[in-house]
Amino acid sequence: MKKQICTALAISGLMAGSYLAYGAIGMGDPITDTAVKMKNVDGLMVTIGDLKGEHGTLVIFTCNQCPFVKGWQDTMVEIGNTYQAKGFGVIFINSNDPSVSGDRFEEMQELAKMEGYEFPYVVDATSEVARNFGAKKTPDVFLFNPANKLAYQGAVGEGRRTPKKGGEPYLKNALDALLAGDPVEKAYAPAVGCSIKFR
Amino acid sequence: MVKEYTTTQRTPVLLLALATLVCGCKPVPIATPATPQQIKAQITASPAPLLLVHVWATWCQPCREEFPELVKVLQGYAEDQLGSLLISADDPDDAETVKAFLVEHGSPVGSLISTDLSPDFIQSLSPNWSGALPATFLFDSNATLLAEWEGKKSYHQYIQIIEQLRNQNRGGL
Repeated sequence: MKKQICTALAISGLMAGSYLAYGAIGMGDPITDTAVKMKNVDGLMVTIGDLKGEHGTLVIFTCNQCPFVKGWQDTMVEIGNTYQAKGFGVIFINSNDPSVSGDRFEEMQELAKMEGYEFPYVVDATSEVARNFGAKKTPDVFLFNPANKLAYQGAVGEGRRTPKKGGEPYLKNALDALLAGDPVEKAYAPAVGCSIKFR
Repeated sequence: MVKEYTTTQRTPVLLLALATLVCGCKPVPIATPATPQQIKAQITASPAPLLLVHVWATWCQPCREEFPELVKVLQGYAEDQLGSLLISADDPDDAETVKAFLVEHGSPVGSLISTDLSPDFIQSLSPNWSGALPATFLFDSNATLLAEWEGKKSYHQYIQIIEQLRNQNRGGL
């Protein structure tokens, strides 16, 4: 009987400890899905592999509607623009099902223009890229070092729906560490966010 | 069994009792700010054989969609069968919004509002939780995490999981 229950729960992914086992990239693991073509807001197809920077690659799963994304938007865009100029590959990925979330491509284009994205904001048309990364929510940050190994995952910085005044800028610290060739001190900082509306 | 309440639990319970006595009506659920330490203490102190902890927010669309299903689940169990602890990720300043949502949906229980959404808070509930909302955790009376998931579920999915775990408990496994 015990075996049956455990098997049933394990199959449904509900056993404690099993949730992130499937499809997630662990710390130090290589980047994935680098050849998947995704449509950018400029209409061109891009891959994560195309964008690899000298100092690393920053991938942020984000969207248009989530209150947490809205609260962190200015910070994320500033980081994206600044660190792309410093030699990081930067890409924002929207994996939401637009029929559920309302994240239509035209709205993505509007947002990117309005917020001044200088980096690609692309559609993960099957949500498979999010699944393969183990992204669960928006915003969800994955930063890879120059060797394409995961060096930081989690929040943009310390705060709730908006950055905390004087709070720890987790992602910026991780980017600066990679720039300096130093190890990332805080490599994992989960944060509350909106669940990705998977297709 | 005499149920003992922690300090953070006692006030809401007394207020609920008072509301019942005064107006003779169904108690109004309340929304109370709580620190991660207070939340953890409530989980640890829960005497229920199975405790459902649900993290949600009024601004979270899937949370809103799921809430009526969750209310049906909570209405279907006595406290000594299934304990419950709702934790809102709304801003503590939005307690009235949280309370209004609970009232609107006929929630049989109130909700705490976490004063802290830091990585430490997230990891204190489960090291596997990514922080996505809604998130649900089921603990036994020893505060051992038995099951967890992210995203919404239907009433029937909730019942299936809860009954599996209750049967597991009854079997002394």
